[in-house]
Amino acid sequence: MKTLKNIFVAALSFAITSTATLSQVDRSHAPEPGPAPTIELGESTMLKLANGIQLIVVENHRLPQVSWTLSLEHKPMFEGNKAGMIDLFGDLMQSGTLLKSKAELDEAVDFIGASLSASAKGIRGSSLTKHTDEFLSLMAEVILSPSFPESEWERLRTQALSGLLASESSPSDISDALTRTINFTNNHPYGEITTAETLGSITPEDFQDYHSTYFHPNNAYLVVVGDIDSSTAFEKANTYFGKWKRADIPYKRWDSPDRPRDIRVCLAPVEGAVQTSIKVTHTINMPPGHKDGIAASVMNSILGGGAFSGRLMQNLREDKAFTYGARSSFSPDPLVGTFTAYADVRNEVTDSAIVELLYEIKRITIELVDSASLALTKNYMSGSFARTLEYPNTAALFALNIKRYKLPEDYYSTYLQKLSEITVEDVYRVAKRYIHPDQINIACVGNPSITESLKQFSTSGIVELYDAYGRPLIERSPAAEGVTANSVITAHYEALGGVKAFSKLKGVQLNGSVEMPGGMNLQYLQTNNYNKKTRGSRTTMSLSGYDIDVNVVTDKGGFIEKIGSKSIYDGPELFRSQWEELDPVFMLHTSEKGITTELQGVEEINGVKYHVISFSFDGSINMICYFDFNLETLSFSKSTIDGPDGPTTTTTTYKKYIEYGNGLSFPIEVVTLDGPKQMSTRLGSITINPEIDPSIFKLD
Amino acid sequence: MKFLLSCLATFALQPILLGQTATSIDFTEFDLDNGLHVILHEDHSTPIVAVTVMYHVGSKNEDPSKTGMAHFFEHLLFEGSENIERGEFDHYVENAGGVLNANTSQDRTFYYELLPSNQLELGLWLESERMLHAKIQQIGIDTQNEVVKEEKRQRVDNQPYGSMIAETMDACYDVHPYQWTPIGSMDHLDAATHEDFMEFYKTFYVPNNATLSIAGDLNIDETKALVSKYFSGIPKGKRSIPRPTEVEPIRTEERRSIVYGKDRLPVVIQAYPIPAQGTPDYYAVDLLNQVLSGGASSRLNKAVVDEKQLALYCGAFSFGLEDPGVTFAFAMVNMGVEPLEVEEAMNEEIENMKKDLISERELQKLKNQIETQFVSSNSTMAGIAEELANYHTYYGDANLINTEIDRYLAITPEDIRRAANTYYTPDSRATIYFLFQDDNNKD
Repeated sequence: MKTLKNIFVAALSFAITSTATLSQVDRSHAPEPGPAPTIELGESTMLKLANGIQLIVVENHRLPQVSWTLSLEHKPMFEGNKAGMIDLFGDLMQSGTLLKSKAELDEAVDFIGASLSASAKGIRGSSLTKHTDEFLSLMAEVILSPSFPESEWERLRTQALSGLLASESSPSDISDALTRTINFTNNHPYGEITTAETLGSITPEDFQDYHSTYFHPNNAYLVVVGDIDSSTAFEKANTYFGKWKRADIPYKRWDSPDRPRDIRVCLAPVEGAVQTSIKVTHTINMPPGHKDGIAASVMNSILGGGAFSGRLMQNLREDKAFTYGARSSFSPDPLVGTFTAYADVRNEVTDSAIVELLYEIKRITIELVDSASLALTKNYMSGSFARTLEYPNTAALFALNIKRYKLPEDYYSTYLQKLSEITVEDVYRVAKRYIHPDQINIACVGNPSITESLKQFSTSGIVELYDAYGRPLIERSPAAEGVTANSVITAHYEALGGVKAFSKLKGVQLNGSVEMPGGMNLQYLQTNNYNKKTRGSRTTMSLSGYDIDVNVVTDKGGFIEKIGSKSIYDGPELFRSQWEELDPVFMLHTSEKGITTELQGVEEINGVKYHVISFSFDGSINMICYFDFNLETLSFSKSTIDGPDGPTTTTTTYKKYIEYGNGLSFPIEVVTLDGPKQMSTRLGSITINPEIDPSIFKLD
Repeated sequence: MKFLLSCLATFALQPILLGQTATSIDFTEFDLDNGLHVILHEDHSTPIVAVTVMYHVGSKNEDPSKTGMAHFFEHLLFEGSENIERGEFDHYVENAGGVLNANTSQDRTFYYELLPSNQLELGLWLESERMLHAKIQQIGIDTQNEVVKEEKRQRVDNQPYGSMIAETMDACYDVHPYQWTPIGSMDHLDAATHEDFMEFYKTFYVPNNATLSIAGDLNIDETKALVSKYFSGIPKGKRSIPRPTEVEPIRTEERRSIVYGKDRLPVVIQAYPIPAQGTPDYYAVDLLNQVLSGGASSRLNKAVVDEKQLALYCGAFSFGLEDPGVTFAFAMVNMGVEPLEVEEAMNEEIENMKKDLISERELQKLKNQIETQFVSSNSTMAGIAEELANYHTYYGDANLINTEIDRYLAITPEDIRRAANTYYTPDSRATIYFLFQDDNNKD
């Protein structure tokens, strides 16, 4: 009886408990969080080897393995006509040493189950702790004595050429080439594009040179993470890398390419594409660890930088269903960074999606964000930060960043605190400062059928077309029979007043103003003397009577003086200035100077047809002139000059010619685009055959 | 929010995943009365917790006239519930400092939240809401229908070689539902009705078809109580859960096909039927593939890529599935090289595997590689939670996370040679060339 009762009681109490459990569940609200856990940053040790290697060790014995990362910290090198060498450097470096063939090296690494991967910026790998010595001896062999074999380079080049071909049909690769070209220009290390031609001019010696220039211990951090203590790591590093010799590393400064002046639209057409890859992007100037960095990161996160709740994702995906994903990135960089908002959308909604991307970008710069979004974003970012600590190499990365970017020692330990202090005003301030919706590139990769719908976004109304490598797309048809380079150039001068009238000019003085990048206005004065014996040209740009920029060219030489600092013209630059500035009909006088002129054909750009003529001299002058097919006058020219920092391309546009006297017409405005830097010269008045004081052309 | 459709190349570059660590993974598991299987792994190294639910439903459970349903349904389950407003699911998680996502394969659908450990209960509330009474509304169906189509355009149609998996699976299966991929047919999705979705929900999204796997900075007893609080009231499913019974007939003749597309480099794929994952021969095939393509010194890479210089990439890997799957040998052909030449070079290496046992040194290399892979895998809480759920869902044995290595180590060089002879047979395979469609080969 008693037993039965006990069973009954037990059953009853069980029933009560479980009912109680169920009734306790209040499903109508999200449960409250528990007390916030403590977040601990891992510890790292910094040591320095005698030869300059800076060692960072993070001890973590959870797994019996150790990873080793050697990271080089030099500024990027410009590759020019050998673009692609740096990308392939690691592969070739790993393709043989003075002691081992590629096959032997691969076998040795695989045999111990290790991984090893080299690049132009270092080498990384890992192995089980018990294989550390074999592993390090292989790693050191690759770093210290790579052989860059010719035959392996041939193999790699064939693969790279195949890879290029594959990239031609990859929207993401095309988009990458296009955005790099328009954000950075091909004259900046970040904007270089590998082509079959550049691959063709690379030799094994280029790899050897790069290796002997940059692979030195005083340029290196060695980051060690895992099942090892710092003294053992130091001892191993010394054993395997201690004999590595120091050397000077060249230092190179790079200008930051500017944002475009207005909204620029570029399209790389891909036949048959079912989606448009849209990137709305411009460069930013913010080094890692900048005081505005965290606020900018919060701003970007609210816009579309990670959380699913970001505005771009909510607007373009969850509300409009234009895309599988719309996001943004804000990437600080020691040289030049980028801001990009992006989405892949179906063809039909391309223009609607760009409207929404631009709307959201604009909105973040003109409206305060709501405090709930800010709170969510800060919570989200705190959580992301905490999650990275699951990986032991996070502590190593923190230590490395503090060193290489010269961040405050407490940058990461105070990160969460700084993040929590960001206000809506901070977000507004950085958005206004760093995001420029009116000076931005819209880079699309997609079906040619969308071209027309993109024009509305371009300030100039032009959609620039590019090929899969970020090169301007050129399609030319032959010119009509009887049309020659000479007839096109002659027609240009005739349309402006006549070859004869121009040839008779003794001189001109052009008065006007120049709008510099950034909006500053300078006075512009150009005086050209065409008298055979005393020829000269002097151009000054001045601010309130103070000469900022003086340019003088005569038959004897020339110079440029910028705010008191003078440099003498020589080589191709002098040759070209003399040709252009000292002769009123210089385009007709080419063969006697050895300049080759060729009629390239007829090209149509955004509905306007042009006769295209190239001028070239000895490989150093390369100018392509576009003459309006109907007006017959020169519309714009593109010229490339090989300078000490590699080739630079300048586009000069001549806007509307009007008559300034004596029946002679001149362009009312000349716009020069040097990469993304734009300068506009407006002509006010022109004096024909003025009195000229010859002393203004003095060279010394 | 995504379906598992790894590009072959990406897939092949990864080492075979063995799902083990040298240090043993401790866990607690139990069933609730409603059939929900629960696995808990406690690890306090970082104050985070991974809350995951694996539903044992994938594209192979779909009606052939309603393909794409499992993946589409995964999208719908972010739309909200009786207590969670539309669009709020993500907000709860992100506001708590967490991330969330989901993916759908042929065999299962997997949802996860990675949260700060003090938000464990939030994760349980969200997942229990999803399981108990998700709200499926027409506006969500309409929106996600477009989103999924964009997903297909982005990941398949506009992706280099994006149709490769779908074409290959289609060539390999005639009767089994593996013949379609999780993204399914857009026409089928357009035709799907609200009732279809509710049917699917009631059939598959039931506790007795799910595994709740949680790993991280948690206390086992407290977590047990919380799990019971949120999940024990969810009613058990009343229907039987349909699983495909189709058995693919044995192939007796090679199938060869050519797919023309806009990708410039030819790709050669040879796909051979293999046994289901977890069977002894599956492990033998997996190791055979490791010999063929594990590391730069592996046989296919060394011969086809480095020495003969015929391809940009060449490798072999198994597509392990719950029902009998396939193994692929795959090459991206260098420009100017005939695909047939590459195919013959691949065959030569496979024939060598059939004739000779791997050498002592190769065996040792294989063991070293496996050991490293065991050590490196399962280093994150999210990874551990998923692996535990996988092992339980497919094999009913979560402890395989610690013991599966023994199955690999039991494989001998003879097993590998036998696997090559048994499964890498020309008659059973499907060979597909993916070629560039230019004006010369247009229909």
